[in-house]
Amino acid sequence: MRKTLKKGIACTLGAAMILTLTACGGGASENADNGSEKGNESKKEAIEIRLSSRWGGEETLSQYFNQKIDEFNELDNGITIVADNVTDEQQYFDKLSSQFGAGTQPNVFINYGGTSIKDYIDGEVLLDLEPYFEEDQGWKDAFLPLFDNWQEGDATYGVPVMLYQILLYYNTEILSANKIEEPKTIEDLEAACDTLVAAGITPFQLGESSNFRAGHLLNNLCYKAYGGDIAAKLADREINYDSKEMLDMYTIIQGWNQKGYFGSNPLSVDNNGEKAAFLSGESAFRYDGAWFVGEIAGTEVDGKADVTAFPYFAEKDEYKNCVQGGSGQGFSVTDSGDEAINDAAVEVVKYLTSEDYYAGLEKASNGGIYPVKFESDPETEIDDMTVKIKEIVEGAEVFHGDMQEVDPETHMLNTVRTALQGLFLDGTPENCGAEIISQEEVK
Amino acid sequence: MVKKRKNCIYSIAFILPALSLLFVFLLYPVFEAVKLSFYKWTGIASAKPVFIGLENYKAVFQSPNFWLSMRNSLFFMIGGFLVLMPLAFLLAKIITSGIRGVKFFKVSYYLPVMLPVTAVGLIWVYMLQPDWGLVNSLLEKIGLSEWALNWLGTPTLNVVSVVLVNEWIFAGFNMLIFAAGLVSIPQDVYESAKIDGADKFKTLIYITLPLMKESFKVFSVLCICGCLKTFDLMFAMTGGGPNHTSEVPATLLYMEAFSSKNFGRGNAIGVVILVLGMALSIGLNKAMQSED
Repeated sequence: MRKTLKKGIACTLGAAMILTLTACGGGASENADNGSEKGNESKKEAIEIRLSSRWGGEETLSQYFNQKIDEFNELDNGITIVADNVTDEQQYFDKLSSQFGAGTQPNVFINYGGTSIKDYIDGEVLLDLEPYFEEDQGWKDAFLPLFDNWQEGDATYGVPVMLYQILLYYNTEILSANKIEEPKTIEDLEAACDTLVAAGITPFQLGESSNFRAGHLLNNLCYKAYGGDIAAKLADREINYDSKEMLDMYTIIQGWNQKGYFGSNPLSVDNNGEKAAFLSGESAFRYDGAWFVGEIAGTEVDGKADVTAFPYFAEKDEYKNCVQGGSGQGFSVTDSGDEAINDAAVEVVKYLTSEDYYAGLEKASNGGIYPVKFESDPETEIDDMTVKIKEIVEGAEVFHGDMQEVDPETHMLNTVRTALQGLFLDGTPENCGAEIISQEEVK
Repeated sequence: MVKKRKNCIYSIAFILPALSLLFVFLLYPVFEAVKLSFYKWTGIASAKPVFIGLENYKAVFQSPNFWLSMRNSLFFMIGGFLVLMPLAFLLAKIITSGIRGVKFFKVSYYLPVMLPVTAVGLIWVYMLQPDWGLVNSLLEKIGLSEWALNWLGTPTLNVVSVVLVNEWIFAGFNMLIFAAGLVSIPQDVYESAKIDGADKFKTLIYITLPLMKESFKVFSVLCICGCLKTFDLMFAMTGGGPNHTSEVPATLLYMEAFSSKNFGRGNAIGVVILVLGMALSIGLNKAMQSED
């Protein structure tokens, strides 16, 4: 009896397996028939554009971006955008690296241009957009001249999607309570921080667990101390990361930390924690891009926050208007080898960089600065901070990104940022410089 | 003769699927990793790898971060043998002792194993946060504020903290290994020992531990291999930082491959982990066999 039962189960399972396979086979041939009948039309219907970005958060920019993607998908124009948003910078770039390694890269992705896409250009995986610009000159002309980071030779491998400048945001309530004026120079800022520390208030709650925070501070200090050329000089190794010039900057950062300007335990706080500290009124300052203004609305410091340009060294006011900023991020398209897919990907990029897109974003954010020329929606209400930011940005003479963006070695951005964390431990400025130099392959 | 050949064909047919899977998912990737460790490759599918011989290995062995990561792996091994092993053994003794509520203890000890390691890691990150984390808040409440430290931001202490969290997570899993060993010891051996006048301590030293040698062997091999290739918990809790202080070989591999786009060097680290893991496992097996 048991034997019969076993045989019965075995036969049933065997039959089920065979039938399943038959079903798969039938489906495949059916699909093939349908495909041949519908031809190109069905191919067009199937175009799916994978888009990778860091805009998956709750802030206005992310919400607007994803809303526009939904609107695009509702157009039913034969192209569907599949967005993959990874908000954490490190995780986003790590994921991209693994996708490019496996050959499963997205069709469109956000990047910083410069060295960060050099390997992709050398690997011939990016699409040159020049033929598309020739076809649609109006699209290119709508952008501000910010293509440098995506150009190599005659080719252009991306379009800017963001215009930014690192600014100093401050809590007016805390500053006025401590009789502190808006800091214009580094010396003013140091004096303000000393006063706040003495009063038991955290000047900056630096989120150095996200290592780009000190990286951005170093960029700004270097540009204000040595001008924009410093990036090229570091890239050419004319000035080294262990030179006196750089050691002086590391010493400033370390000194500020030792004086308590960066709050307690900056290495245990990440960028989100730093934002939360400022937005809840616990810390007095935060340096961030122009986009941060959009995150202030509705928080505890709404109406109590103001902004100014990143301070400059009083003795070096010739570099006062040399700032970290410019076309911070751009869209690049990967070459899929299929013209229809490439065209669809460019179509998506055009949609997300159109004048309408930015007019809507300006309205949703109550202002902002953008890399595209457009006519504002008459109903847009621009807030006071945005007006001030526009004035500050207009005053900037030279924009530069992260100093390592022009370095010949891709890893330098991460290498420098990681080494800077040593300044918050027991490392000396000399150790920091030596650590960076030891990782350099191009001497 | 024909029957023998038929049997042979059947045997091959039966092991062929398993062998294919082993080749495709294990041997081929290992072979590719070894091959790539001799190349410089940016990790872009269409970019051609450039042969550079032993340069990647040279760079790995000359890197202070690599030796730091090895030291941190050693911390995991020391923690494994000094904390995890006694703890897991103790838990195994509890769940095999026949006390009341043994089912409850079994589940509660095993619960951390069932949770995703990254989730557990993140929970502990918040608990160990120096300014408002649960651990420091409790220490301050009971008057031990000088013990409230920056657990994950202080070099060496951050590795020790992660090692202890690791032991907390895996104590339940290793408890099962020791519990299996404990229940396999015949009761009459204990009864004989009792008749001979052995007390509980002597029974443990002269009966239980020697008869559980196989369990300790399994634990040792798993512990050494696991410690060498540990990644997820450290990555979730510290990311190898700050400033590389909590790097373990696998996080270093990840950083080299994905952040620095140096896949050749990343693979070289992977090969070193593989060789070291195999050598230690074989060595340990031989050492334990020779004592038999």
